[in-house]
Amino acid sequence: MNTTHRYDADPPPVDERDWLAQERALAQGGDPRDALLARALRTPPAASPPPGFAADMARLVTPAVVPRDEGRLERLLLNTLFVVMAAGALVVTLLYGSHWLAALDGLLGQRAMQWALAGAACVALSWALNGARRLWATPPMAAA
Amino acid sequence: MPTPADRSDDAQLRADRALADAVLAGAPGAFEQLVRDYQGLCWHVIDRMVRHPEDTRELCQETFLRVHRSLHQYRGESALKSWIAQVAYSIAKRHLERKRIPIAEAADDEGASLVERVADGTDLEAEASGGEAVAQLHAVIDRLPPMQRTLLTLYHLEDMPIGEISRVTGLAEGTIKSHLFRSRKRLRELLEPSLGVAAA
Repeated sequence: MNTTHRYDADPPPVDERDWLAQERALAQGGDPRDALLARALRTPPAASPPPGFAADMARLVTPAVVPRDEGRLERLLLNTLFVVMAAGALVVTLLYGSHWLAALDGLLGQRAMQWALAGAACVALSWALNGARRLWATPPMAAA
Repeated sequence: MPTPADRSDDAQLRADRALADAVLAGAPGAFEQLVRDYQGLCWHVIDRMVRHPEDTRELCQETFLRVHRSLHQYRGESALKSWIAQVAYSIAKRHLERKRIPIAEAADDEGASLVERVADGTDLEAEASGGEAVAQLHAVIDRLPPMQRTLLTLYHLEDMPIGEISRVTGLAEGTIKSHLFRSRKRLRELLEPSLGVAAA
């Protein structure tokens, strides 16, 4: 991030003595030209943030703040829905799983079926772990 | 033994860390305070880069949104001012690159084209004294390439040391000095005819 780089348009290096002489001239302002230049360089340009910019920015990030109670209720409802759906999926799989397996077995063949089952098991495991992590996760920080 | 400047820097770093922590903890008003503290810096950097009021506003908003989102990455090793200036600079630079606007001129053309541009309609001689001359010089600075404009702003207006500017822009310190030296030399040369006689 802090690495320095060169542009094609890099100017030739300046002699340190010339640099220091220019710095001194601008700082001391003995010559009216230097004084005027130093003054111009230190005068802010007319453009400035509009009034209320900071308050507007603060309002812009405020929707990210979730009231703690509302967040908890939302999380509880989501978790309940997640558990109900998982239970439903389990029941349906237990009831009709053997039919699906027989149908897929006929369609894909024994070996392909084994690979498909192994893949499905990996996906299901990953999904279940993520779900469990979400289930026990702490509520999100207010503004970070 | 730490100097008063070191102590002052330490105090600033501690204050920056405290403000960042307050924002991260969601303390009421903390983010608004951060924006208020650094909106001038952000505006100066981006405005000098893009020279378009609407774009400046949008890019400043983007900068502070990015700051809000990434503040957990701020480690407190450098001033928050530098960190925010770095975000503002990179956002403005990317904006110019997307619009295919060169941010620095080829070194060989820099001086000549500056004089040509400045000679076009700018009469410093007529406005050689007082605030109008300053305004004219600002108009001349506005015609410098974005990189040079921004370096002048960071160095003279924001009082950033060369090393800090190097961290903000990713340019080598020698390159920064060279840009500053050449830009100021050209600007001063433009004042020669107007103030040369008066100064003598």
